[in-house]
Amino acid sequence: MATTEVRVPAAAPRPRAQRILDWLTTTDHKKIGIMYLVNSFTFFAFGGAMAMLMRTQLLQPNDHLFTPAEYNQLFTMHGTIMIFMVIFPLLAGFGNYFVPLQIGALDMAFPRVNALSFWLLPAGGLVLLAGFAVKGGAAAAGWTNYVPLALQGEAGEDLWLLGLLIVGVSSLLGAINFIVTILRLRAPGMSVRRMPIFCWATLGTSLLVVLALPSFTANIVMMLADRHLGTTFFDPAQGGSVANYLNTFWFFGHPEVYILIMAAWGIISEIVPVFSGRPLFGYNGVVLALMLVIALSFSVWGHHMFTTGLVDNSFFTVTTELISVPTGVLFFNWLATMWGGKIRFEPPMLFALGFIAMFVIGGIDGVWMASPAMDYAIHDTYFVVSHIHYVLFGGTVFAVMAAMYYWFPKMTGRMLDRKLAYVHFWLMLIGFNVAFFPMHYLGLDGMPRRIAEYPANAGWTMLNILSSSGAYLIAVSMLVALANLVITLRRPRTAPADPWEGYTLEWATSSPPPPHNFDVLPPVHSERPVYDLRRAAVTEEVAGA
Amino acid sequence: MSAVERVMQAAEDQRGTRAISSSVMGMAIFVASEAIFFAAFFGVYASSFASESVWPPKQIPLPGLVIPTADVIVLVLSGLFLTGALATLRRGAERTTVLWLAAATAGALGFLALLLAGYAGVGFGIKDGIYASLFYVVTGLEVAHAVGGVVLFGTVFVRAANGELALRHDPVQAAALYWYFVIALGIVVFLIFYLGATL
Repeated sequence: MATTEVRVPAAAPRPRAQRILDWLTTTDHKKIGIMYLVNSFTFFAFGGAMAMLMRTQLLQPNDHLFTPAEYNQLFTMHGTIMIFMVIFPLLAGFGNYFVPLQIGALDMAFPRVNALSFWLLPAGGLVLLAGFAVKGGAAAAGWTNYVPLALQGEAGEDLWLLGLLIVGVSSLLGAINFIVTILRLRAPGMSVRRMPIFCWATLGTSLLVVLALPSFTANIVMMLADRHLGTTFFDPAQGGSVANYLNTFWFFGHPEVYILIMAAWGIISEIVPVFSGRPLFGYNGVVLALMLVIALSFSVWGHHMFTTGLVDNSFFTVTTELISVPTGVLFFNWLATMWGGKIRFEPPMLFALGFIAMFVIGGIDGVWMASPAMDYAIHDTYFVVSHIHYVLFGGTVFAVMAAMYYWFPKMTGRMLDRKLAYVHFWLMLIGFNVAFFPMHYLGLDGMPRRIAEYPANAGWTMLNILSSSGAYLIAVSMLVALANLVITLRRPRTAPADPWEGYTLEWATSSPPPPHNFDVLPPVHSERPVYDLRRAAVTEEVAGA
Repeated sequence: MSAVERVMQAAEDQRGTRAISSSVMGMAIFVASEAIFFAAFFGVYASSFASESVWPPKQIPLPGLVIPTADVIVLVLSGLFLTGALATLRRGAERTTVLWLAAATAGALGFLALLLAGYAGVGFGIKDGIYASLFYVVTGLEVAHAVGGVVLFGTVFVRAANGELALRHDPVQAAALYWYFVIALGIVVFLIFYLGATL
């Protein structure tokens, strides 16, 4: 298609200081998106390194690489960083870069607010990490920060609360920006029913952030007040209650897991159709499923409190099991999209398939745990650790890698090396399963999570060795991915505008796109405008011949 | 302006007649998140209320009603002034709008002053249990939101006085949306912590 091949003539090279200043002061959603990704992958390295240290500690029973107090800090900060500084911002980074492109907009609705959202993020992350530098160390009450343990923490705990307050403001501003951008800045012809699923998913994620996150903010405010102002929200001795903590935390905490996965579903719903050569099966069904998940996600928080005796377990079982219905719709629609398609096993598709396979395991774990009878047995064991990693690593991180291979050419004008991508995929898939599948057995056998050591005669040693070797394999796979990144970035920009024969508007502009995004905006008559263009061109050619 | 920008602008103009502006929509979403934020505290209030036999607890002296009642009246008045500002704005009477805005800002300042003055009549401290915790944290957040409103009004007022209203109405509309939320909050706080506690 001729219109996409427009190349902007190379401008005169600008001095390095000037270029750095351009990045630091930019309000361009594409640059901000890339900064989101760079920031998140940097924190991913931190969080990953903590995971490696924990797995090394657990490599053998009675290990004393770390004291229990240090180990508590490690798992607390690992979880916190991965959830708040890595997974959510990675998805927000892709959203920042691609939502405006996919809806044919020039930028986000509030470009300066967008820059503020980004810069608050590393600021909050540094406040979190500063905990390691203060007396008493970083926060150590787990990422769920339960009382009364969290009330007893030292300065690191306050830094944790303040850091997450900052990150929360960043997320909230970002979410408002996404919603307004998607509702107001769509190109002519782009009705909501023609919007790419990734945009729907980002819209859904943003709604969840707006409606769930404030509960956590309130929770943090109460925690800070209890710690420093003498209030008694969480102190049962003076009229407060631990239930106040649990309810305000999990009202946010469960929608949060959908905040961490919904945009990943969006990514998969983009990639699977493109590499199957078919439209997405059941577009309306997928959109409806996303909306149902949002609605239901606010009614399930009590399943985190089954064993407390504070909630009506049967009610929360029903709502939790119900949520597997829309999730199942998504699975079946992805499978039906591939059915009879001409599947191309390019790196993005491999990671997408990896996502589907791993997420289904995580999902089935979830269905098990939604049963209180089962939950009483496995609550706070390694089974839960396994579940959350199958969902967030096997799920979201696989989707993020799929997105990385899919969109990297668009962002940089360079194709990532395919062979290294295959090595990365297989190492990560094998490493991931070796690391996390054994945790199911450890959990069923009663190994509690968050323990720094276990007895040699517990029978858990072999499975822990297995799990740790898998973790190291994941680390190796990440080094392969990093090598691929470094090698590719030194190559010339040769990627075409549309290397994958994509469907959505981001493929209608050059790779990378010009600052104003589009020189020519193609007409939008369906949810696959770029596919329509390609087909029109072919039809014309045939008619001409 | 490139061809694309012209197309985008045309689409924007076409929508502009029936759609609300980005800043008003952004503020509406922000206010929704604020509502959830305060709902968390009122949720804690409700569960504490349900689990105590005497509420407010016996050791909590009841607050006087005079200043808080005056306060909530001033608050509602500021909302009425604001509604006047929005109405004149729709008619294109920008000069009158500036006057209404000045009155609304004065109302907001009066509300804030009375809110702070009201603390003098409170006979318990923040450390006196769950009721005191809720009272001080919720009213403290109310003060913070009132300060935010005054700042917002200040900036909007300066822009309006500089004649910006002829160009765009949405900053005033967005600020108004926020202040209506603060008014709703002020009324709920009054009903729960003053009137409701006394009855």
